[in-house]
Amino acid sequence: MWLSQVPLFASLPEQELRHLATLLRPIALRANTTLFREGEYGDRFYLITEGEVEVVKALNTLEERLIAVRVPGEYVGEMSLFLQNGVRAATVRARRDSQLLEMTRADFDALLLRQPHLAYELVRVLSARLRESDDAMIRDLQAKNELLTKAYRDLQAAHAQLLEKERLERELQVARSIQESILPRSIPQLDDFDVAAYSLPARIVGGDSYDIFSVGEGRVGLVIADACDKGVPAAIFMALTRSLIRAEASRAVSPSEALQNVNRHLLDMNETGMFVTAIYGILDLTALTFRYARAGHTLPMFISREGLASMAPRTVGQPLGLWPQAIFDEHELTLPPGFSVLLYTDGISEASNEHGELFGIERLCDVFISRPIDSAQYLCDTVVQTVNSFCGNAPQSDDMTLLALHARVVE
Amino acid sequence: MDISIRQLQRVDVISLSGRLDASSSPELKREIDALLDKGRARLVLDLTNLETLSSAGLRVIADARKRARAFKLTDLEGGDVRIAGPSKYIREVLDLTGFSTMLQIYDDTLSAVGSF
Repeated sequence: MWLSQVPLFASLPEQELRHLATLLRPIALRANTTLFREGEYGDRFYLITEGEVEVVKALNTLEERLIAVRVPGEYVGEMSLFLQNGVRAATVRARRDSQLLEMTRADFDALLLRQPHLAYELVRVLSARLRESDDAMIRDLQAKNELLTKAYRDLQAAHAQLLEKERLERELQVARSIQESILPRSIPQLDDFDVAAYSLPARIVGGDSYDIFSVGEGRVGLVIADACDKGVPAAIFMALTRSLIRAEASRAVSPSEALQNVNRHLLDMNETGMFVTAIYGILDLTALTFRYARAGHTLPMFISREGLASMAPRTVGQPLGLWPQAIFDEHELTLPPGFSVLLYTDGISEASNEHGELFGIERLCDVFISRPIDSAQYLCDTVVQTVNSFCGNAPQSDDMTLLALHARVVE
Repeated sequence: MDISIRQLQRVDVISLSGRLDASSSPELKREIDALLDKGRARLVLDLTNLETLSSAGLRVIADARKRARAFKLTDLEGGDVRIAGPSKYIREVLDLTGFSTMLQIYDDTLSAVGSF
């Protein structure tokens, strides 16, 4: 009969099995119901005839672990049969709807008396159970150890990343202060002209620059430039270009001659394919003229005393560092009192708002309608305010720079 | 920005739509480098649907042109990058930066392809 399928009872004679079958009480256990709890007093032994039960140590604690799953033909609760006032060593609950047969200690004691050889079978099974429990515990500890080791390594990696990020940020701040210190410390005070500048990088360091320096007696050099990139690489390339322009400006006769020499130097040393657009102009304080060469840069804007803005003539000007024998667009103009020249980078003319609209040259020209300019600083401030209110909350996508020159009106 | 590439017999046409700026130019560079790596060095950049072109985009175009022209193709012609269909605004950018003096620009893709 089927009771003989249970390994523990396999050796029992037919007669005994039949007797046992009458003794055992059937119990139905719904899924997820607990049969008995760890630590409870127990004196019953259960055979599983249908379904599945789980044997769990330390249920609902951090140490909880599944020791075993018992299936039909197996049994649970056998420990309580031997221990006087025995407590349950683990919690048993049904995994699925199950059927069990219950045997009390008294029944089992009587069985053992009748069939003493059963004791050997029991000893064998109990040893196996003990080993099983130990094994589960060891596996569990090993798994926990692995998790802990991994967590520690993850923490170390995260910490290293954080340190690296902080180091980079510190370096960027250093780069920023270097870049800021390169810009002219103060704008020279001139009798008949005033000059103002504004520069805001899109990131911590930028690829735009401007410069103002003396070029011999009664002449002032003005530069605005834009490296074709943002961030640290552009800033480095721009610093190089700036130095070259200053050096060549002191030697060359005309702005385009100076830029030709700078172009040659950049081509010699430039493997990166970077280029710079620039305008370099010389303000002659005696003749009251401004002579400039445009290397692919945005067209200068001219604003008359009455606030009428127009763009410089459109002829060819090629960037620095790209092609040998570059063509630069050179022009000279006289600056009557009240006249202004605005140099800017495309971060201004192509500033965009949240809808993706560009500020544009037309809007730049319109800034000065009915806003007569009385100083270069006023010119800069007005452009900056207008662009900022146009852009609203849109993030700044490119470096923005302005350099303004205004011929004073002497009453 | 969207990039679509059409491979013709001798020429590849790269059509751009949207904005070519510092954030989208690396993608264009990758696509062009991939073509050049395969020896496809006759490239037409179709800018019909390009809205804006920034200096970062110009840099990619200048680099691509340099690389393409360095190719020695078997039928005695080098490679090149030529521009097709720029809008008035894009044309201005190309003029102001002097790129239109150095690069061949055509009104439409057909003419650009035919020029090779």
